[in-house]
Amino acid sequence: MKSYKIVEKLLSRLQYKSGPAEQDRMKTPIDEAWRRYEAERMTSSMPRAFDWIFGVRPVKWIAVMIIVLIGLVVSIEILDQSTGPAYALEQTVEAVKNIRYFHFRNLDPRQNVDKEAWVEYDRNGRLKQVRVDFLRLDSVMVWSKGATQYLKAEPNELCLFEDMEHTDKILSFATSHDPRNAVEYLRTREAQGAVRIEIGEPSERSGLIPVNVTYEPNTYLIGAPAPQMRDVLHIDPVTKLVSYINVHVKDKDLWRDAGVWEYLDYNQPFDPNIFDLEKEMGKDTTRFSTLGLDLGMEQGDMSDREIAVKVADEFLAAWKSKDYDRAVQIHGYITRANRDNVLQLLNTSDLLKIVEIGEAFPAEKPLRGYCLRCTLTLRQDGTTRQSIWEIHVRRITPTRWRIGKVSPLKE
Amino acid sequence: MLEDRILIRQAKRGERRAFDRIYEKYRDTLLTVAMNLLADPELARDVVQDVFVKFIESLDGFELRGRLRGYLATCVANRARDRLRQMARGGRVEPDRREPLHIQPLDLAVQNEQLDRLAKALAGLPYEQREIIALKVHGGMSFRAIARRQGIRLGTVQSRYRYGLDQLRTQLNGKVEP
Repeated sequence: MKSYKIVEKLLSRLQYKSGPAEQDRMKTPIDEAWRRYEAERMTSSMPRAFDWIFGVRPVKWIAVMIIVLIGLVVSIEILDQSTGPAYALEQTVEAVKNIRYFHFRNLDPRQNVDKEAWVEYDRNGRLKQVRVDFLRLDSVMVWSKGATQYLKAEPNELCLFEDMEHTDKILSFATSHDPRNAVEYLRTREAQGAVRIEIGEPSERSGLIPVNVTYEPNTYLIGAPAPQMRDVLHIDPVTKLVSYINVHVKDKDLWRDAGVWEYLDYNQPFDPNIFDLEKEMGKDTTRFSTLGLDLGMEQGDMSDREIAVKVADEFLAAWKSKDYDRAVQIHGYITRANRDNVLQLLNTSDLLKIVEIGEAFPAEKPLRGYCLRCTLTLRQDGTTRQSIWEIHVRRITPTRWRIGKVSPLKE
Repeated sequence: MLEDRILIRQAKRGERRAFDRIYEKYRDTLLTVAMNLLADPELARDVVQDVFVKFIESLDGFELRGRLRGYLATCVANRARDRLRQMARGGRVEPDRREPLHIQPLDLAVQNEQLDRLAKALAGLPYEQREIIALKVHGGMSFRAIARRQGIRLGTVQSRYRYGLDQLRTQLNGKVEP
């Protein structure tokens, strides 16, 4: 049996790799196939009537003449528009006002987190649903109807959960890249002197209008800590919408490329299925839902600080009495791995005595909620010792709180 | 797997970058499958090239069921079999049975004597066994997936694999080291 494994292992090492010359040779017919594919895509998007007209010989030249005439009229119209008043950012503010759907992509050479996102608003302009594909991480997150769906490849699992912190993160992500807020934000910050806006001449090649926006340190988008940044917005001269944004960051007096935001579609309604990841589950994907499980504890009339202490107290009491089901339920979790990690902690450490539960103090950013320092006597690996642990408690829904993290403080 | 679904969706929208990522991700794996089936670098390159060209041509209606790597590896295996049939009809024999391996300029990623002997031993196996081994080991497919894709019984797939490994072990004359 062992020798089979050895042969298999050896076989797996029997791999061939192509050199640059072979890669070039292989690429040529593939490039041609791609060009044909692109051309077919363009052709198939033309109206069928066009093919029909050209398929009938007697009317072929008449049709050509009609099309040439239409082309001339349209060109004159466009020329007319292009000699109109100079571009102003307000035109973009106006153009994005009624956007209900936008689809964009962020490629950042510095990080491994390229993202593509679809954002939909309701008729009142409130965020309705968001989908973010983390392109290199093999995972997708959808926020819809108040709950989050998280599909990932490793482990192959679809998690469904309701968690305010995740909701806030995804909403903040969508809001900060919402073209409506982004452009208005620029105007506000310009008035405050935090950003400098310079409108350039349209590019000869693309016709797009470049708008250079230079941000002073810590003023970038939502005002999070940031070095000096520069965005170049490329504005479509006809629609006045942003086509893409090149992002640059100042590093030792040099502007470095920090990625690109491409706005792929505006106001193209999305297929509703893209917001339902259950429809994208593979045959081997497991579903892990905590919806409706009432994890954590209800806040009731307690203040935030009081509920934080209560959650920590109840969790430790359940741990000490070895009521692991209750302890895990109070602790809360999102993925199967989260739950297993909590269970492992509880199973490998006997909580013998709760010596002291400290006061709740606000957690340091980026964490939210409160932390408590607790003195505990534990038996681990046959050794009994007293140590200080930090318990982080946070809000999970508007009315419920759970534990975010339990960890021993480094001595 | 999820990344592949995303890339396919983007490629269908005409995004060349997405197709390039698929190509770069699987090119060498497919070359390995093809080389282990055909033992001829020219043929292996042609087959992989054909598979990618066909993949582009069918992209519009393409729906991924299972893993892309397994799907493409199966395409390579089917195409390789067609090539061998064409060559047999045209009077050429399978290259692997009579001719020595030419692994230049397609190089083994890790070159050593043991792997070279293994490559030769693999080339000496009946095609059906080589195919199952290549799909399983280099295509990353399960026996069940191979049986489904190739339309053969699960038991047949498993026995071909086992016989293939048996013969490799024998041909390597017990000189296999982990």
